[in-house]
Amino acid sequence: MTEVRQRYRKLPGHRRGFLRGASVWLASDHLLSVRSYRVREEYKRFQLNDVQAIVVARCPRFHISTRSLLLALIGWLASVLGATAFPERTANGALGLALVVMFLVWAYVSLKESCRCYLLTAVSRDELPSVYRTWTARRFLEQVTPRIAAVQGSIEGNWVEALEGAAATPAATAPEPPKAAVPKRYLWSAILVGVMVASGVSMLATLHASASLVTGLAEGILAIEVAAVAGMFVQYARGSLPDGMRWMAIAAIVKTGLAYYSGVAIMSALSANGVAVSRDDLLLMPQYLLLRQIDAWSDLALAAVSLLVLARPGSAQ
Amino acid sequence: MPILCARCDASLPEWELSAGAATCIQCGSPNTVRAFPALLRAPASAAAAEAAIEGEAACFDHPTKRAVAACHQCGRFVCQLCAVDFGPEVLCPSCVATGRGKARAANPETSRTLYDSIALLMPLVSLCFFPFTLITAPGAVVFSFLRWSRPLSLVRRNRWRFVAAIMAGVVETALWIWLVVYLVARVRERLNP
Repeated sequence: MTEVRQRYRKLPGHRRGFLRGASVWLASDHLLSVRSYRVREEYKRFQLNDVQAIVVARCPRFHISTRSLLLALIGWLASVLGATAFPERTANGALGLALVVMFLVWAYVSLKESCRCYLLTAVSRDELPSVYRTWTARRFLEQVTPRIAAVQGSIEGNWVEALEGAAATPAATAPEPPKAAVPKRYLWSAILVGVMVASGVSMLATLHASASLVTGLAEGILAIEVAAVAGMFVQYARGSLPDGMRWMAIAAIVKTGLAYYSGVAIMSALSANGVAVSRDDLLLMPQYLLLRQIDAWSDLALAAVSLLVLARPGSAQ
Repeated sequence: MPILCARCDASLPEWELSAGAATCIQCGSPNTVRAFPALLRAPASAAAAEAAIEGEAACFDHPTKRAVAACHQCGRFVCQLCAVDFGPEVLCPSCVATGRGKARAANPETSRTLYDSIALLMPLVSLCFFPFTLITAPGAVVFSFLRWSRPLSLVRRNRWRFVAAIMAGVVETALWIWLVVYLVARVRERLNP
């Protein structure tokens, strides 16, 4: 028997990351789960005849796809360049606001419209990383269920009772011992939320303050923020960080980095135009004021999302 | 086998599962469950090979066990325990392990290196450290031609990355040649005004 060259049809869902990606493909008799690592792909096949169940659960997934990041990057560049070229235009404020709205939409989708999908066979239980949004999961199930049903047929009657009967064998009735739950700790998460609120409020309150006050505040807040993020990563390594807060810590650090480099970009643009300004004047430039407002509102938005993450029923598990 | 919550791995409440959806009692996540008849199939019991009596064909690897089939690849007799069913054919474990000939399809590949992606990344990533393009640009062109006929991804069917890599490599190489020619001309102008 020679190897048959399979034709694959792509199923809904594609996870696109910087270094890793995933997708699921349908062949005539099996599903192919593809995990890609830029220059390498790994494959796992699931015969349609062997699939026992597909389980999809709603849960937060803070994945940033390369496409959405590209959109955000274009918006951010447009905002910075626009603020530099046309400081008097209010359109730049609208662009900044649009960026914040985009971020909030992403946060909402990540929190409320995301899911995790598992495929169950007799010998394995594998996650399908490409199915991570609820609308994708719906379309995935719509396409896959009839194909599996065409191979296996469908279950008549109450399958749960039949399953209980089948499970009454010695091997199947031995459940896995429950994992010892590590208690969740909230100290560093609370500090991060507090720092972000303090950062946002202080930036808005000191928009027209002196450079020394603004710089001193910013440096102090940055030091606490970095300490809080470091503490959260230690908690994550120990398994005691509340679910979802790792991504909030990453988002906070990335946001801080973006704000810093935006400031550098504005200074570079001004220097390139031959504008020499003092530190006090620089902070009062319209571009810088806009940047600090965006930074402040982003901080407040991040703090609000973090609070939502912490308040979720599942975060304490 | 209990159906586990896709979020927290806790067992889902069975009284809700027959409706195709269940809310996890541990994390509170709503789960959608599509179950198929394979779930109710009894697990295959370990094949018990029968002992061979005198005069009967015996398994190549287990001389005391009765042979039930011959490997379609190498012809060795195999017992119930050793017989690997692959579609309509039966293979022996050693043929499956080596994956040669007929057994090749029984041993499908689990990974592939994407040479087209490597070729494309070479001239593009090295742009971040542009002096490296002096090596990577012609390197990408040569690499693309050398690996052109190697298998691509199982699911991608075209070679546009190779084409793009060759084009990027040619453009970067041409720019380097232009730069060298330009610098040489400038030097000559200075030496011979």
